[in-house]
Amino acid sequence: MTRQIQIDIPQGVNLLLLREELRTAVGEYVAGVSCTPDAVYVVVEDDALDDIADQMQAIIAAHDPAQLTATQAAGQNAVEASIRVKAIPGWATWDEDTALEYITDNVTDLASAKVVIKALARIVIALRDATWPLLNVDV
Amino acid sequence: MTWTTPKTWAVDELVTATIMNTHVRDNLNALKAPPTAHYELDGSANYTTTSTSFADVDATNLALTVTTTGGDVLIGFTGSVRSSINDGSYGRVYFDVSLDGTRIAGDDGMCVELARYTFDDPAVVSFVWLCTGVSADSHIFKLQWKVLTGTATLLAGAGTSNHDVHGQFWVREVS
Repeated sequence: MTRQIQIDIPQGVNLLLLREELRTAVGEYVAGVSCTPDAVYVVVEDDALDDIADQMQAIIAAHDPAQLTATQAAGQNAVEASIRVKAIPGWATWDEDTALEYITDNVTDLASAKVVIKALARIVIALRDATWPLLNVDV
Repeated sequence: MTWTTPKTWAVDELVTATIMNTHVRDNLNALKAPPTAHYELDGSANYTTTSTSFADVDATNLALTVTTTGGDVLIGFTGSVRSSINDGSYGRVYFDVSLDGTRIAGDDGMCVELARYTFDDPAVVSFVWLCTGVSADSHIFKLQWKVLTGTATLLAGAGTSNHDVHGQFWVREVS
């Protein structure tokens, strides 16, 4: 079973980040963080030490809800991948013929080839982030 | 109105108003209005949790007290949940109900729902559970939940655009 400790966190809360921060500080006694319409609670296991609320106080006070966990940042990166592709001139809208025609007309030497390769690299990385957002995250 | 075990009638027994009121009228009234409690979700904000162990959803409002006459209690819940998991997979949200502080189903609870954030689609959680052998006493039933990963959100009629839906948690003695 668990018990819930109501906390005062006027700066707002990123539930996943605060859980991560509290687990790092006081261990697996922290099951998570919950919100009701009226209050925010830290959920702790029943066998948590009696002074766990005191141990958590400094972490809660320093919590910055604008920061993201690694998983959240990866998720945001995935959501924003299409925006990054849109910012690459031409490549967001070209069909196959147009793309090939562009390469035929514009790739004439190493420098111009690098322009195309860089655009393709940006697309590949955006596709990677959208397809496998957690590739570099320990979950 | 409390339930009284109906008396066994004897031959030539004098039927009095007291007996009739106790064993007929009061029992019919008890059957018409059994011990019941319910709560509709209609908050100013939705409920959220990251707890990987079962925890009360709302220890104040989603905690139903009924004084039973002893027997079976039917428990029901309907709600809509979302998960923060946005990597294309699903977040698992588990539900259970505690009776006087002890979870009824145990293990991973009464049901699990798969929900995800990516497509902005809430998933429906709806279950009915017959809790048998409940003693005659005052009891507290609390809705509990946990997640496998991520953050779960239970929509609470909080005015969220297109997600302003209301759930209900209820208990009723049925035998």
